Amino acid sequence: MHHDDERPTRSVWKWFWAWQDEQEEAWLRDMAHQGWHLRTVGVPGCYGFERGAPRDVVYRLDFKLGKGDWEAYRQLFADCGWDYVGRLGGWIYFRKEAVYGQPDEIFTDAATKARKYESVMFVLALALMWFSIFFGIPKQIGGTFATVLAVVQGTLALVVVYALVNLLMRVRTLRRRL
Amino acid sequence: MSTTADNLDRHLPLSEAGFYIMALLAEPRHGYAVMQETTALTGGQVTIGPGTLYGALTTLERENLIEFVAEAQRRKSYRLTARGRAVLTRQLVRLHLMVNVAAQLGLDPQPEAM
Repeated sequence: MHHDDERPTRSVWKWFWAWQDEQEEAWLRDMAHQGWHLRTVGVPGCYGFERGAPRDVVYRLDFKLGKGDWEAYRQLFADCGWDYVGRLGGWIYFRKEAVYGQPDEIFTDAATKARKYESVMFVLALALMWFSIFFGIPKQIGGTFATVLAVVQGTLALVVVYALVNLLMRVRTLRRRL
Repeated sequence: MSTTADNLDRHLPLSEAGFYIMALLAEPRHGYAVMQETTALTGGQVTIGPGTLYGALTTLERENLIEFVAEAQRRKSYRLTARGRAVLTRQLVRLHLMVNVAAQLGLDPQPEAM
């Protein structure tokens, strides 16, 4: 899929939570059915698409912390027919033309799939620690701004806890399938 | 490094992907070759995805069951370590035992049932 500057592009704002990666994959595939192919994922929640022919394209997300072996990692996916689209934080976007009878998963066993979600959980746990540490600071400042900040932080912390619980259950289900 | 029976057995049983990767790394190979060979040798019944392959190789290397050999054109080749060979052998012994017991019990694998 080459980038043609003359081809129409559009940006779509859509939010997917950490536990909604499969929905995100399905949505990107649906967009491809409508002729919109993912081009950029630089900004969280903002997807850049470019116009093309409607195609059945499977999108898969991996999650990796750090770069370690980036070249070999990319090459392995490329060898297996997966196009690299972009990276957003730890999330890595791959796509492949869907061909009947051919594999369309990047994770073919439960253990390695579980490890992906465990990496996500690690980052979420760090975020939760961050919120816990800085939760007390607004109180020092005082005033309405501090209250608003505290509410926002509290809400985000609750979301992170929900994400952790959701992914923990997913990991447990995956690991039970031995 | 200790290679007592208990020590090696903690790596068992190998996952399906882990088994095929280790079996194919008895000879030095890079990741994609392992993937291709697994599909070819199993007649298409077993496929290993790149996410799984990369994750498994990373884990096997960390557990000192495989070692890095060389890199060419951004493809890294690995092969079994002595420890890895010992673990694979123990897994094969177990698998043979399982198949033998199944045969003794009159249980035959039916290729269509897979």
